Amino acid sequence: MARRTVAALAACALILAACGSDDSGEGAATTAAGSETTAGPAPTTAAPETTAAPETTVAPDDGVLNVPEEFATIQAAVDAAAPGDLVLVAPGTYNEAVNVTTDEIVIRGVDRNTVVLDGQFELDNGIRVLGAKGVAIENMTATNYTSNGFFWTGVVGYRGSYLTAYRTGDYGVYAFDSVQGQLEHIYAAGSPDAGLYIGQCYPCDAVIDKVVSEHNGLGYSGTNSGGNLLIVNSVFRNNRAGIVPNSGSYELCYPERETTIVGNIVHSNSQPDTPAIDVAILAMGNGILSAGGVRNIIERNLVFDHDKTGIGMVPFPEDGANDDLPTKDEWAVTCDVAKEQAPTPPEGGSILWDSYENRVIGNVLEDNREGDIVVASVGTDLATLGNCASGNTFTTSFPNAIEAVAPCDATGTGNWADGVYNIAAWLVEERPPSVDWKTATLPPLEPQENMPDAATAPASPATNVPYAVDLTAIKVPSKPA
Amino acid sequence: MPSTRLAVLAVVTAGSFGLLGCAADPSDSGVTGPTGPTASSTVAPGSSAPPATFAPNGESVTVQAIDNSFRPDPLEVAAGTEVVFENRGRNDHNVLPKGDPSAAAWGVQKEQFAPGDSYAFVFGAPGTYAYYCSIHGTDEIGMVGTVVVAEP
Repeated sequence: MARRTVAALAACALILAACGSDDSGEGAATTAAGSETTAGPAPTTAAPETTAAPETTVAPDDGVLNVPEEFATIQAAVDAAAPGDLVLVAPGTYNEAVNVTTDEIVIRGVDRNTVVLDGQFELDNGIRVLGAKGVAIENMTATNYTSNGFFWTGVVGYRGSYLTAYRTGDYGVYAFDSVQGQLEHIYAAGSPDAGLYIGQCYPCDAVIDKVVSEHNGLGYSGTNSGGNLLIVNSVFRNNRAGIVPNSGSYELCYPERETTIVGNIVHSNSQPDTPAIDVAILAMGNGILSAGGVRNIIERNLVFDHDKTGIGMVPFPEDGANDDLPTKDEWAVTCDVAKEQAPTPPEGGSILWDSYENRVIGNVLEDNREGDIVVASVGTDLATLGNCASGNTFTTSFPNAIEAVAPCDATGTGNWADGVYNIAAWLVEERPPSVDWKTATLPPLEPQENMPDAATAPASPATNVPYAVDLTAIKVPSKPA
Repeated sequence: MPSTRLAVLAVVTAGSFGLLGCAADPSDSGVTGPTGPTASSTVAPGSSAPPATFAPNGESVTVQAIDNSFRPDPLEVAAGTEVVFENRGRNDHNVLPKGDPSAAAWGVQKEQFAPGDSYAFVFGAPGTYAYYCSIHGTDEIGMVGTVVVAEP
């Protein structure tokens, strides 16, 4: 049952009356756990000026904790919430960095476009869920945070729905070392790393559905993630690069593998004026890029207008690697096990993550100016990598006639050496540098779709995610007007 | 290129060579750091004396800060060992002692600990030193670590 709490404003007044004045702003109305990252109260609320004790108001025991009506800050409401409760946030700007450590609560804005968490370029994360199971965040906007808009780490069960992350210093929506997740109806723009990210999980058991990610370094990045990880029905446009599952030893649980990418519109990811970390700059000009990824399924996507590749299966060179490459046998090791294994750094420190056994099927590709479908490596015999392509609509590929050379579920007849893509040129090519995320030119933040019945819908913690996806029903999307 | 900042100079008076277990208060040890002069550690329950401080022993071990964990964790070292924290990830991190970081003699902020950077500290006093990255955790959960410093 919910732990009921005296309404924050009344509590503040009582404290003022009982303990003398405290004009420091640290009364009950403004004090919250994790205060080192929590700024002052929401501007829509203020501590009462009178010291007379008002009539005490007790929040009704309805499982709904209203902000700021009952709790001046989101953090205060979150701290008072019990599993199953709904923290319902009224329109306003909240200069908070909220930490969540209570299982199975729901934090929801009444209106996605007017419930705004603003980090003011000083706070790290808008809402950060640390180890708490089943927390759902719904229907709000986070902007101007130096790290992430919405961040889950070390959790089992998470859901982000109808969220907007706009102009953040690292990721927009970030799920790390977390499993059983659903990210849906999200708009993410203006992050130097990725608009959406799921990393360090295997199996992840997560779905990204109906999101739009633009003007980021990467539209989607997933390092060392995969295993029942679906990216479907979404739009990735005008980033440096679109969808980039990738491997690296700078996180645990390598390699990235078994991500399923179906039914997305991926276009124009050659955007030169975004904020961008180094790997986003390196990946610039590509639609869907498996960078050292393994056994990904890339199917029925519409991919067009890229300076380099539409769908690329390429190596990722890692200098200063913290561990050696995993063997094929180790690809099946779950993340929980892998995290306990001691690293064996490679001699010389450099390794090359090749892309293996990816399947590219039924995609529609056009105007990807260096190649619609590309398999490449540096020094590895491409025929040994096991990547394949079938049933795609495309014009150019490396090797030439890739569907004859490497058909899926059939024996190839062509020559891998007929058309070798010069991937090494990427390492020496000059590209536009990153733009400061604080000042980068972004599309104006248009009103985004609201969650239905946000003010009245009951709390639904993230205990039943990810939702089932009928992959067979997804068709290649139509080209946008 | 990575930059290493040896944040602490364990100043040892001439008479202290080989003088272990001198029961000096860490605040009097001559240890200096970027955030204050006082090293702190968790003293075993029932202990009434402040922890002894041991001279640098010439040993150095590394803790990697990757995205988003410290390893090895926990790290066990002998008092007087230099611990080098290396940011081997692609994200910014910091290393903050649990408790009041501003009151501790060690730790490094993200501005000095970008990917490729490193930070070193000589743990002279036995004890258990819990730390965390505030960007990716709190002092209780997330990106946390512990250095256990034992008497030599």
